[in-house]
Amino acid sequence: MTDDDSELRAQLRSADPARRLPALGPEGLNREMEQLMSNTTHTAPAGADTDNARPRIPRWMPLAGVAAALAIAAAIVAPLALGGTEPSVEALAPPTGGDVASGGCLALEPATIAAQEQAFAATVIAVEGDTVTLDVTETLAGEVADRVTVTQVDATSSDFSGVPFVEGNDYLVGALNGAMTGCGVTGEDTPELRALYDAAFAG
Amino acid sequence: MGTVTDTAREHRMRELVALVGEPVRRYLHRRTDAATADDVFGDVLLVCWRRLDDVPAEPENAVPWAFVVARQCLQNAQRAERRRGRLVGRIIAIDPPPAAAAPLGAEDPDDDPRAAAVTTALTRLRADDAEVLRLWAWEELESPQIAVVLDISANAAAIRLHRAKARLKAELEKSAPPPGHVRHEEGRTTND
Repeated sequence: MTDDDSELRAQLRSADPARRLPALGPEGLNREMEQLMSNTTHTAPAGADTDNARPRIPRWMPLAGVAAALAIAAAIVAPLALGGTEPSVEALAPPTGGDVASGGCLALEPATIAAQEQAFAATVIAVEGDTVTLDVTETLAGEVADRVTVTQVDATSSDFSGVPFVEGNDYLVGALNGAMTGCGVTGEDTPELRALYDAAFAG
Repeated sequence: MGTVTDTAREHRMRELVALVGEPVRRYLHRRTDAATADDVFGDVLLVCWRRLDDVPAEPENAVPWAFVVARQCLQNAQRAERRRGRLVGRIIAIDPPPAAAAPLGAEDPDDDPRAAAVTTALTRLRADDAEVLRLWAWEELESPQIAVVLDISANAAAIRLHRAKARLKAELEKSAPPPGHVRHEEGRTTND
């Protein structure tokens, strides 16, 4: 790094909002770890189902309530400070259907889903003509706007690997290079598809 | 759950928390208010626990990997918050609440003017440029690790970082007082 760079870095560090944030330290991190373990005891990771413990209220539940209250307070203040919270919108191109030329869709596997640059769960809030507007509820991979518009799947000309979007229904959507992926990657948010997405992103 | 026992898994998780816990906590505190940061920190640890098998073995890669998880958890939290904001936004005119606590460092009484100039310059940059600079200076990442966090090639990260530094310098020069400015010293006004 050049001296010039060192100076710039030092200058930036002087504006670091966390420069006076006290470290949690080993004890604090240990506490976080204990809390995590108490929340996840008997809960095996990524899809396994070995949770035979009786249902219990996690210790963080009251904290979650407080956090939610704070978040709501922040949400009330934010529009005042920011002058409105218009959702961001991005458009995705329709599936390219490349797989059809090579003889149809391959069996859907978590690896195919894991390869998606963008993956998200969303609810269809409007279908106007050919344009479908999805309200994104959960980002599973990549950067995704608050709302995504796509072209309605045309059953007569498409490769039949897509699903027509129905207003009010929930979908899982994968995209590569700004185009929605067909071949079963994008589909209704069923337990089966959700299991594949969970396996792919395990988040 | 395969070959790894619960205890071994827990041990690995403890090592991961020791490695990424503090950097992730700071990453979050730099990008949101303290309450949200603490809340999302718990989410990040939970995702790390679930995805423990995906964590890169090399420590220098584990930290950027954890930042990616943190970014996604924060995005989801902020998305939920915006959703609530849109819902609740209509009632604010009826009953405006008292202002919430400012995010850490937002208004620090003993901020030096240099920091204020940097903060202002950062807001004038494109969001992409500002984030690259934050990752470089605050998270202390070099371009290959920045590439992991931003999901771009190492080459693209190096170019983006180089450009962002140049743009920040230009912004800082713009805001710096010109060489022949009028200075006030102990009540006297001098021209230099």
